[in-house]
Amino acid sequence: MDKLAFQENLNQQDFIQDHDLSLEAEKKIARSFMGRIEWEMIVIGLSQFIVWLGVWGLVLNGLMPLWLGFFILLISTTFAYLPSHAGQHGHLSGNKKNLEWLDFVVGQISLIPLAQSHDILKVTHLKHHAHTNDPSRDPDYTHTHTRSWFESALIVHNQTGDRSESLNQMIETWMDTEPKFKEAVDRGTLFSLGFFVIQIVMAINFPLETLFLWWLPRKFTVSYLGVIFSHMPHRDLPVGRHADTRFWANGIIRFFNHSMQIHAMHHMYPKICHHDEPKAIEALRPFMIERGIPGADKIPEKITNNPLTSLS
Amino acid sequence: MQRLNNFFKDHLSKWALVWFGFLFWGSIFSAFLILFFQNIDNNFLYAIGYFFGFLFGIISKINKWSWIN
Repeated sequence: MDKLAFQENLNQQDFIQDHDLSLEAEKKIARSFMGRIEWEMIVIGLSQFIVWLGVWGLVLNGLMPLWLGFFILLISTTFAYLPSHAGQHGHLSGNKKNLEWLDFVVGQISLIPLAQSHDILKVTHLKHHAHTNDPSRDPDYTHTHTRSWFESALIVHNQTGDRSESLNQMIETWMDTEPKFKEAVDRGTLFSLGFFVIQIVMAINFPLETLFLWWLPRKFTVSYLGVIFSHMPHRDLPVGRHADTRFWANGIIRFFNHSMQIHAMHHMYPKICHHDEPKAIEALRPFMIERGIPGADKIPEKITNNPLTSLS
Repeated sequence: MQRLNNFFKDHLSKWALVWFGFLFWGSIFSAFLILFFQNIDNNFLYAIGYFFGFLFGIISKINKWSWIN
């Protein structure tokens, strides 16, 4: 251990001795970061959809070449999921009853480039939170725990349509035992069916545009989500609130990976908005180290504006 | 209405990939064929394109390639 690391370790031990690291103290700090309307995600969700619509319009009217539209939508579609994810956790409404419609409306509009149902993603994602890394109950398990990121990028496509056997079993069990889950899936199935029909109609009328502006960008995004949102933060980790997600780095500036390097914060407190996570980590860092969250001991004290290309 | 709804659900749970292969991929295959073989009759190319789309759908159903949709 070098001198600097030794000193930092001593400082940490002093801090732990001097401060209250109880669960109550942790929750009190965490609560101070909860409850606001995450307007940034509303802006991102609607903006990327407007970009998607705009590119379609420009390409169909011959004002933009198809290849350029393809590259623009390849990037903008990767922004389609997180606003729905924020809605799934009630961040768009700030968990205010009278604004709950925002969670669904913005979440569903944002998912149009991905041709997915907000309701179905919501109920399965909440199951992922409740049973993270449990092979029989985590809907993301199959594509998360693979031998390589490339395998995850391929397997994640079995999340839809004729799903993998294990995921089908999970969903059937929940449909049989949980009326609210079934209700949400039934509602979501109508949207899925709608996307199925609309994509076919679009392909019949605009075949190459549908392939390059819709199908390929959304397939690329689903692979990206499988690797960066599931595989990297959770692979090979056990079940357990403080053990199921890691802090990680891959050499890429975290803002280019939708900050999934700090996904551990989201699993510790899903009610904290995505854009408030850096500040929350700075405040909760000693608790995270104390609880033994994988990689927490390597995260720097300052996270806000820190690209986190590596963990020391 | 409920029976019709159930019929569609049941039918698509079994045959969605075949329909998607036939109509979605058939349209795309046809478009590529028309792009590459401009001096061949378009109706013939459409027939070939949709035939390959249908075949792709059947193979996808057998192999459970849900990624095609």
